[in-house]
Amino acid sequence: MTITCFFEIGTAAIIANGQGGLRGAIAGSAVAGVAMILLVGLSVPILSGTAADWILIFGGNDFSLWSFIGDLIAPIFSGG
Amino acid sequence: MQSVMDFIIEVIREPAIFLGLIALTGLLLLRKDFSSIVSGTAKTVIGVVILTQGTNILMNSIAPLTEGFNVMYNIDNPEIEPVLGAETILSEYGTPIGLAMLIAFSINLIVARFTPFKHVFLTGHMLFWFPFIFVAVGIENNLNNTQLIIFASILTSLYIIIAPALLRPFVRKVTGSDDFIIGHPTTILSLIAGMVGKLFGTKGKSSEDIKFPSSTEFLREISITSSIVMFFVYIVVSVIIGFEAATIAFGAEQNLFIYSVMQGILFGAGLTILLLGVRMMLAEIIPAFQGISQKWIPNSVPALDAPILFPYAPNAVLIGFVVSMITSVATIFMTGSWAFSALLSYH
Repeated sequence: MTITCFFEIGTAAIIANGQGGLRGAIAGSAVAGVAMILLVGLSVPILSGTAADWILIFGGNDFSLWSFIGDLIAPIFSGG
Repeated sequence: MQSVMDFIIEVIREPAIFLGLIALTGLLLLRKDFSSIVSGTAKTVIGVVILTQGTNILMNSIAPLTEGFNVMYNIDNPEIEPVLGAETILSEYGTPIGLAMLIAFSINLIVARFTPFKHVFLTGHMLFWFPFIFVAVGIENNLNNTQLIIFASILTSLYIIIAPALLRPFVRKVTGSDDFIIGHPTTILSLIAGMVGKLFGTKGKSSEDIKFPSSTEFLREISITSSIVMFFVYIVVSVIIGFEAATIAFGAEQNLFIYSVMQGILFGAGLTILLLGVRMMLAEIIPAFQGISQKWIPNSVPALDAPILFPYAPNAVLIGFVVSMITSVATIFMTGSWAFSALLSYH
C-alpha cells in the first residue's frame, strides 16, 4: 500500500492542489491516507475466500470500493 | 476462437501495444502521411515503455519500505491465505475475466458513441483487473459461470463509464483543458482529496509555487527534491524501528546510510524517467486521438493512466505520498486491534 500512497494518492494530491492549492493538497492527502486504510478494511472480509491476498496489496482504492458495491448487488445476478 | 480472444486480451493488457494501436488508428483516420504515422505510433509505444520502466524503478525504490512498516507494526509475515487466492482465480477463471473485459470495453465504445458519456477507457491493465476483482466478488456470492460473466461485464462497464466521468471536472481544473481524463482506481481517493482540498484549501498558493531562497533553488528540480525526500523517508523509518532491524527489513547489503542514499536517488531517477515517458507519449497520443474523436466517436476524449497527471504538479505527488504514508500508518495504529493491523500490514 506504500505503492498506493504514491500512485493513487500522489494523483489525489494533484487533484486537491487544483482545488485548494498547497493547503488543499496536504489536507486532501491526509484524509485520503485514512480513507485508503478504511477501504481496505471494508473490502478484505468481502473477498476473504478469494482475492483478499490481492486486495491487501493493490486495494485501498476503487478496487476496494467497487468490491463493496459489487457485493451489494451480486445477489440480483444469482437469480434468487 | 479461444486463441483469438486470448490474443486480443494480451494486446489490451500490454499498455505499449494497446496505446500504440490507438495512436496508429487515430493517425490513419486523420490520413496523415506515412512518415508521421510511423513516427507518432512509434513514439507513443516508446513513451509508454519508458513510463512503464520508470514505474518499475519507482516500485523497486519504494518496495523495501513495506517490510520496514511490517516491523513497525510488530508483525512477522502476516499470513492471509484465501481458499482460492488471486493466482488460482487468474488461472481458473481466465475466460470469464477476459470475456467481461472485452464486453465491457465494447459497451464503453458504444456508450461513448451514442450518449453524453464521451470518453474511451484506455488504461488497458486496469481494463483487466476490474473484471478480475468482480469475478472474485461474484465467486464469493456463489454465481455460476454465466452469471459471473454477466455480472463482471456489467460492473466493469459501469465502472469504466462512471468513474472517469465523475473525476473529469477535477482533472479539467488541473490541466486547464479537456484533452484527456483519468481512468485509474485512484478515483474515489482523488474525489475525497479534491473535496477536502476545496473545503480546507486556499485558492492562491499552489504546491508548485513554493518559493525557495536562491541558495536552495536546486530544490525546484523534482529529480533532486524527490531523491532527498525518499532518502529521509528511509532514514526516518530506520530510526523508528532501529538500524539493525531496518538493515534486515530492507534487505540492505550496504551500510544503511549508503543504502538510504541510493534508494533515494533511485526514486528520483525513476520519477524523472516516468515524467519523460509521460511527456513523450502525451505529445503523440493526444493529437492522434483526434482522429478517433473526429471520425468515429465524436467529441470523445481518452481516459488514461494516473501518472499522466504527474508533470502538472510533481511537488503535489511528493506531498501526497509522504502525508498519506504518515496518516495511513497513524490510522493503522489508532484502529488498534492487532488483527486489523495484521490484515493491513500485508502492504
